[in-house]
Amino acid sequence: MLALGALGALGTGIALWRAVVLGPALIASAGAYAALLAIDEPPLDARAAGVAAALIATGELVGWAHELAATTRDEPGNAWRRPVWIAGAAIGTVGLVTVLLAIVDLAQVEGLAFEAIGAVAAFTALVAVVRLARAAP
Amino acid sequence: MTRSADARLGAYAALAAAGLVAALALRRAELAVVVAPFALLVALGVRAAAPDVRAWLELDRERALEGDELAATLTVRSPTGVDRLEVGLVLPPELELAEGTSPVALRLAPGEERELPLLLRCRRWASVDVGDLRVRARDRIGLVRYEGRIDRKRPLKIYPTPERLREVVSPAHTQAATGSEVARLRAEGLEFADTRPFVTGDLVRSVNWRATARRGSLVVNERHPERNADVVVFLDSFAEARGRGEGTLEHAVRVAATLASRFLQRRDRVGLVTFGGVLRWLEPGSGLVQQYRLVDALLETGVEFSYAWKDVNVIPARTLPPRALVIAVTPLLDERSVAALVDLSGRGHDLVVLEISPEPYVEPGSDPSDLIALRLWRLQRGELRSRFERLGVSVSTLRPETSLEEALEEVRAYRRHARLALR
Repeated sequence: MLALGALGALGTGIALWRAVVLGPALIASAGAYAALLAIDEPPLDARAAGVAAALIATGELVGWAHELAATTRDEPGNAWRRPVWIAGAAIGTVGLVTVLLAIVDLAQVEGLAFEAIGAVAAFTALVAVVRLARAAP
Repeated sequence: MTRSADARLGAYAALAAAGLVAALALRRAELAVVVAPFALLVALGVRAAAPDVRAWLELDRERALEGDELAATLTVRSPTGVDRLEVGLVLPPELELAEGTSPVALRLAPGEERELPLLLRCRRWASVDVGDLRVRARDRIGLVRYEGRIDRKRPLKIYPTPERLREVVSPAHTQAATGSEVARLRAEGLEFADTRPFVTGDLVRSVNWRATARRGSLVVNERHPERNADVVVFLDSFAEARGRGEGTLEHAVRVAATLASRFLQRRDRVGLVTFGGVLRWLEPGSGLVQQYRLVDALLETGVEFSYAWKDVNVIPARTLPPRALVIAVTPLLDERSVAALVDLSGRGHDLVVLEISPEPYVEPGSDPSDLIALRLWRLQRGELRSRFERLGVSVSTLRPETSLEEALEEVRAYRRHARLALR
């Protein structure tokens, strides 16, 4: 778990120069959390909201770092928009994940509801990938 | 506009997919929940539509001198609105941004129009097109961006700054029309030349009464008339030496433009021959229109590489009128231009060579053999100059720190003495 966490941190650092490393870095960081879940086996982990927010903030901060490294300067008075967006995305993530965790808790982890959520999530991912592929220039 | 994905799009999609697979494999709902915001961002991010962006560029004038500053206004408008629009003006190397920001990122509300004032500085003479605009737009999420190029090119002519010249080279021969050059022949004019006995038909006002009183017979004054001359600027564009963004050609064009402008002010007829990979010529003419023609022709000058051997026979005869003063502006680097100049001198043209020295642009190596090679090259060039001088052609060397006035003074001094020695 620690190794995955360290790999994630290292990858995030590299992603500040090489943006293509961002994906593997985020997966490694999320992998560390998955390992933690596999070791601890809590009934329903409330730390998921914090983990998701941290991952979102990491991804957005790396994106912002690349924007700042570019030669383009923001018009005066516009520079605050990006940090506000990042903070909003992190807070929104906490809210969304908390709501989803509550739904999961309500539906009870075992049973048909879990399978249904998994199927819907898998279908959503598939649709997203197909849309992405179609939208690619 | 071209659509492209930000690096985060692939990362978020990969994380969402990996998280969902891991959630199913490990049977942990938290993993699916953690990656759900990423899947949501990807789904919302790929929905971003291409924005409608329009841009214009206006320059305050179409002609400028080297070192001038031009005001430009970059106007952008978007009927659909853009959360973040990066807009930049791609400048040719001859221009630089003196004031203003380009590229700049801004936010446009739907229908909003924004004017961005820019100040451009002309670095060196050129004929350029300004108005290559690059835009990049993205929505608030920023996972997908649209990049495009808007062509709003406008021609801009940057003229070389002429040097101040008090005096130019006096041509050996003048033409029939009135000008500012005191001719060698004797006719009606202002400058006193000599006296001679009165002959029938002489004007009474030309009688020199003092000389008449002394000699006891009528004596009249003779005068030199003021005439114009034909001048051909011979610009060698076969080769150039370059270094640190500047080269002999830039210097040569500045010198040629200064000479052309100064001779035209004297009401001389000035022509141009650009002798290089591409031969360009302009027949001698006078006046302001000819000055613009000459400078426009000079702006088109570039070094075009060519193996073809060219001599003066390829130059149209009307471009090199007989008894014209030919001023060659050359780095003396190419054998073909040297041969052409020797040929011109042999054909009786009054020739002056202004050598734009390539030596300041040469960076010798530290190896002893490099230094010997440099010394040999310098000796070879010295011998070339001596060869011209043996032919009665004055050669003056111009370095970046030398003014044209100094170089022309050297030519004038040579021509004053060399003519006496030759005749």
